[in-house]
Amino acid sequence: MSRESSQPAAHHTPPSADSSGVLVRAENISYRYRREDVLRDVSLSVPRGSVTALVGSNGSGKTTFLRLAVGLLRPRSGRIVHPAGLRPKVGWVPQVDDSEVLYPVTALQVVLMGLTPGLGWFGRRGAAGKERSLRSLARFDVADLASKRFRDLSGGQRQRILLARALVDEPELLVLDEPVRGLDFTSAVGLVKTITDLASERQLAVLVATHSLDLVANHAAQVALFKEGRVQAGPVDEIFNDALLSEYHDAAVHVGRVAGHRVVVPGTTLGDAP
Amino acid sequence: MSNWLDGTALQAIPGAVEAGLIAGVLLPWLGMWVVLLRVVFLGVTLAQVAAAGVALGLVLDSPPLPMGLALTLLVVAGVVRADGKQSSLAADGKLGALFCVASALALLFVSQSPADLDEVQHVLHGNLIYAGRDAVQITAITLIAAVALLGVFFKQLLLVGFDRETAQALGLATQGWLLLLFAVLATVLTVSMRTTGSLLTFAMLLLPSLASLSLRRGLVASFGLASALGGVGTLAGLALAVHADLHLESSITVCLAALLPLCAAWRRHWLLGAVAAALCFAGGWSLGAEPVEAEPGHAHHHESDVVTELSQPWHVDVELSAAQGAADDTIQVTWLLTMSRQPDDSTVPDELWLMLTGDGVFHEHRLTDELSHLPQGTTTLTGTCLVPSLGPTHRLEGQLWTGSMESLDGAPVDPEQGAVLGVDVEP
Repeated sequence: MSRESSQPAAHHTPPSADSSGVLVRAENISYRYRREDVLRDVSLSVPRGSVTALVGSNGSGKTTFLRLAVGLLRPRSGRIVHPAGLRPKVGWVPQVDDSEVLYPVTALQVVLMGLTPGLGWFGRRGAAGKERSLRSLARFDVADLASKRFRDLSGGQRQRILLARALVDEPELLVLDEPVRGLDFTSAVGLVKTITDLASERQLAVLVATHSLDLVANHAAQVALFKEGRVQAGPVDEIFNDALLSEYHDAAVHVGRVAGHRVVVPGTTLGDAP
Repeated sequence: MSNWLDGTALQAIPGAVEAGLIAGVLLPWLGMWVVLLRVVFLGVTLAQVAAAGVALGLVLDSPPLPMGLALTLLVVAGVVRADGKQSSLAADGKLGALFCVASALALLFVSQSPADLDEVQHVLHGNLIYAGRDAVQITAITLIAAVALLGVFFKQLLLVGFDRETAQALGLATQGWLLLLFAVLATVLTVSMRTTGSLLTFAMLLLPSLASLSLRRGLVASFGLASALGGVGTLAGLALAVHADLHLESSITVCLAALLPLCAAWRRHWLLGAVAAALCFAGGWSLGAEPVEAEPGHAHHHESDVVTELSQPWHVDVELSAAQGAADDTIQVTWLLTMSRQPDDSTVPDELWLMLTGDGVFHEHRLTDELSHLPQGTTTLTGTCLVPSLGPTHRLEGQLWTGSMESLDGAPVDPEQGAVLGVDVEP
């Protein structure tokens, strides 16, 4: 996988060719919010079939990049390219805290919403749509919640239902904003495993913004480190090293291994366990 | 059984019942969107903008409704356009500023309007009891079209309302859908202003919707419940106003507001809800313990003595014919009064006034001030009057009073004692 960066030219590699399976490519994009540069000259390719994780502290520009990637925002300069030609079909999972709780909708009705854009103005979802929605709920082990009121569910259950909604219309690009925030350890691992499997099975391009370095270290194929509007991107093996992570987090960070899995911990004194 | 329960009293105000029920059932369905999208303040502001537009139309001597609608839609377009933009001012702050400006402009325009103040008040604030057939029809058509339109695009609006960012990410033109919703809302607010007035329109939009959502039913059921509760609350308000001689719009608003605690009680236990409803019913009944049969709507003073006297054996019939003036700003009305009275009847009032209402019309005309001096048996009187109109009017509805509405001596004539039929206006 090519290594991309908004750092000085010596580190920058042009985006990979279309034949590499890249679904979305950001080319030197910049974005400014209230006279402040949020992103500066960022380039990043999002390939099919794997997870690309955006990592960085709060306010580093991760969510802004997600919004630019799916067209919610327009870059101030640079461009978002879709090598396949058309804008890919998108599945979007917002932060679960943003969920609207006033609506008296069931989990099934939330998932059915994911089919709305594909229906056109007067289309009907019908029994087939309901069947697809139930299958999508089952994929995340929440089919039994179909008739439950969405607002009455826990954060983890809501997150799974939003994921089921994002995938019900079989998108090519799945975008997730903090998908494991508020989830317990087991739920978070299970969710990330499911997403990774889906990316592989369906040749789905997954773009995820997260603070969970451990999960990224073990499940993402590519990582983009965000800091002050600049990005350093590459395969996990290249990016997850003590020096780079410490620099991007302004704190000592150690990457080690426990039982074959990468772990990321603060400080530098922890030795690698077998 | 009291006549307010068997419905005969409500028959005296058929236009108000018709307009009230149409608005009471359909406005809550639209109000569900206002509540769910959390745009209540936008709705309030749009109503003020519509009022300012209508008042501007009166000043410029142009049709007030189209002017109000145009101004409101212009603001809707601006609000939707500004929706996704970065700004240092909060959205509700801007709406608050707009609300202040629109309210002030409405008052300024009204003060400069050459039209009669009663007409201005009628056009700006509506009056359910004098809802003319044209106004009721326009309101009904507008509301049915609005519900149908939003019903067709229910799925899209649901996604945009529930999760706008996701809707946008999935490729929906969220601003377009919001524009549709707000434009429909603006149109409904502007048109409803003529019949239900701004207070009642908002009560009907919000209160049944909030009550329905508090029952925590499903999505479709909540929309249906809001309409059902709106209808029930409106009917209760109409009955209460007739029974206790209360201001009509306020009575309906109070009854709609009562839905909130009633639904909260029902949600705890249906029996609690039923008891609370029974208590409300008893409270309403006790308000009218002293029988008052005057027409509701202007009950600042009780006219029970006059009305009791009017129930003596005498009768007045008034027939009307009407023709639109050449400039569309006047209507020539010809009336024929037939008075029948029995011997020794000393209860006949001296004056008889004709109240005329219609689309852009609110006018009172004294038919005679010598009614009590007319001879026994049957007598006929005839005359004409010129009625100011704000635009083309297709129909006028009439009502008989024993004095001017502004006078403390005036009261509506009991429909059994005196009748006047509505009349189509000839072009």
